[in-house]
Amino acid sequence: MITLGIDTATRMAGIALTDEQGLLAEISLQGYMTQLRDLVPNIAWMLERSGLRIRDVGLVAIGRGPGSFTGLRIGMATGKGLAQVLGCPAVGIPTLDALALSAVPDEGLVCSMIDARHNRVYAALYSAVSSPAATEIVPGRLYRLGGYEAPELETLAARLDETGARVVLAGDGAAAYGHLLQERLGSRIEPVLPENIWPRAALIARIGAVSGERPAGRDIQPLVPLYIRQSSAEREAACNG
Amino acid sequence: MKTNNQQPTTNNQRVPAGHTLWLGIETSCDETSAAVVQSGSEVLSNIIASQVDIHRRFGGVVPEIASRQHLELVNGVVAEALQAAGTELGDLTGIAVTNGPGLVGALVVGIATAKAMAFAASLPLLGINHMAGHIYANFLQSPQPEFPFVCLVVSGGHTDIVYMPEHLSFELLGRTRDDAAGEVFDKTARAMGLGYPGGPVIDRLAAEGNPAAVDFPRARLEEGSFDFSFSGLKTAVLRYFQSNPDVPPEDTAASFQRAVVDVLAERAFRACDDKGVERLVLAGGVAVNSELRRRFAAEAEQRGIELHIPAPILCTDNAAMIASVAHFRYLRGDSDPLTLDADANLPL
Repeated sequence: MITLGIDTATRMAGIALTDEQGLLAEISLQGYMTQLRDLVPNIAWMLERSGLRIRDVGLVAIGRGPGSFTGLRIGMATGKGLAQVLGCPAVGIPTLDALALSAVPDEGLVCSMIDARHNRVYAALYSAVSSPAATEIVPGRLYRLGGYEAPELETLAARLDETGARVVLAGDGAAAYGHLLQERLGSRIEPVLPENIWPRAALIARIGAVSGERPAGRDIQPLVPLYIRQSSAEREAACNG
Repeated sequence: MKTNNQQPTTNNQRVPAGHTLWLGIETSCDETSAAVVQSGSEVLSNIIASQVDIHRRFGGVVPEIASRQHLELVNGVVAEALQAAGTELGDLTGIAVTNGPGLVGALVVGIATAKAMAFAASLPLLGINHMAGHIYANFLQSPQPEFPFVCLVVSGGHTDIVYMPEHLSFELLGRTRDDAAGEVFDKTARAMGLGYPGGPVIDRLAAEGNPAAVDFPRARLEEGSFDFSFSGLKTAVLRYFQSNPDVPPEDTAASFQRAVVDVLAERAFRACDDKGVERLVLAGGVAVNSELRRRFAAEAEQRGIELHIPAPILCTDNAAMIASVAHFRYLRGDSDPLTLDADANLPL
């Protein structure tokens, strides 16, 4: 079965085609402003160059972020619109999971970080080893510890400190703020490798293909981004009681 | 870059020869809507999911909340529109979507959905101007207006006087220089503590009041201009309301509404005289206002002008009006590539 992966959570928009054997095609391009304009034409081009038609796609896996609200909605609306016409399932995959999959070490932890600006990141912590409290993402390969959060950097540093483990960083949040974690926690923090800064749609597709969820038809309706943060109007309303 | 400009590949059996069947999608503000319209005039379905109850507690449309709602609602609204029309995707001539003007974050949800659906279903795509849609709501009921005509478009974001000599030809004669008419209703209602949205609450309150109670200022612009300015009126109403706490709010509301309608009517009928046309068309959400409808009907009759006003459900944001424009653009030979983008300030 062909899986189409889409991720538009960050400045690097990605699309990919995979099957049971692995990757068939992948495109990653930078630029928030062009995501709406170019996403569908690029999917059309990638399919054509791969000798495939959109009807061959049996699953759409869409990155849920967290990240740019508008960027995420472009990817999710596109993926849901395709699935609605194709009559195939669509699954939402946290982009933080995909970032972790590319960087997770055999020993120690990986912390995926997406830049939320203003000294905040969207973050989650993962291990390659299963444990009772962990959530399975990819069997035998990736387990999430705790939830998806938007901590201030101080809070995140304290949380990583508590683990006592070596922590590999991944994501553009790590590229922006990783040095602050290193200053605080020293050599236990491994800086993000250049190839692990941006999420890859191929890994969204891979996780989507192994995830058990298969919402289709009207069930794709509730598929929405991992916003984590409320709109500023709601935050203000909450503050004002 | 490959784009999707081909004609529909499906064998279209439902639609008679020479007719079209367009799916419209509209997400430019706080209504998520999808509709199926035959040949630009016959509404087979027009599903509108309004978010007004969600935005009410914020006293206005919150763009981020509107965008989130659109993403949750759009697929279901489209499915419902197709089902209610008894239409399959393969029956369609194409998919039309509002690509501006509007809230950019809200527009992108509808556009991304429409592009994905058009691509997957191999259907032509058209990006439609929301304000053109409001005007074309008049073609969704009979009798349709004949050309040429003058159109007054009044909504929350726009107050325009447009001359149309023929289909899809828009000559902007005048526009507001500050607030749109709908915006003035909202701001005045908020300042008077009447709630949101302002149009309906002021309309209801004004029905109980005396419109001659207060003589609010009507902005005078330079001779011959068809432009509007409502900020002076807004300020005058707020000042009056604050310094006259004992005057019944019904009277203030009725006098304010009379002032707005006076200005709208003066410009619209003068534009008809200026252009020598005997047809006037109203469009946009503010055209629901009962005083405006009454006043325009009376003055049109007195002047011998043929007046067209859409039914209230077609005045508010809806996708049927978008599908109607698509029909006429398609007949002209238009189609848009899959690179279609949002334009928050798209001009007519």
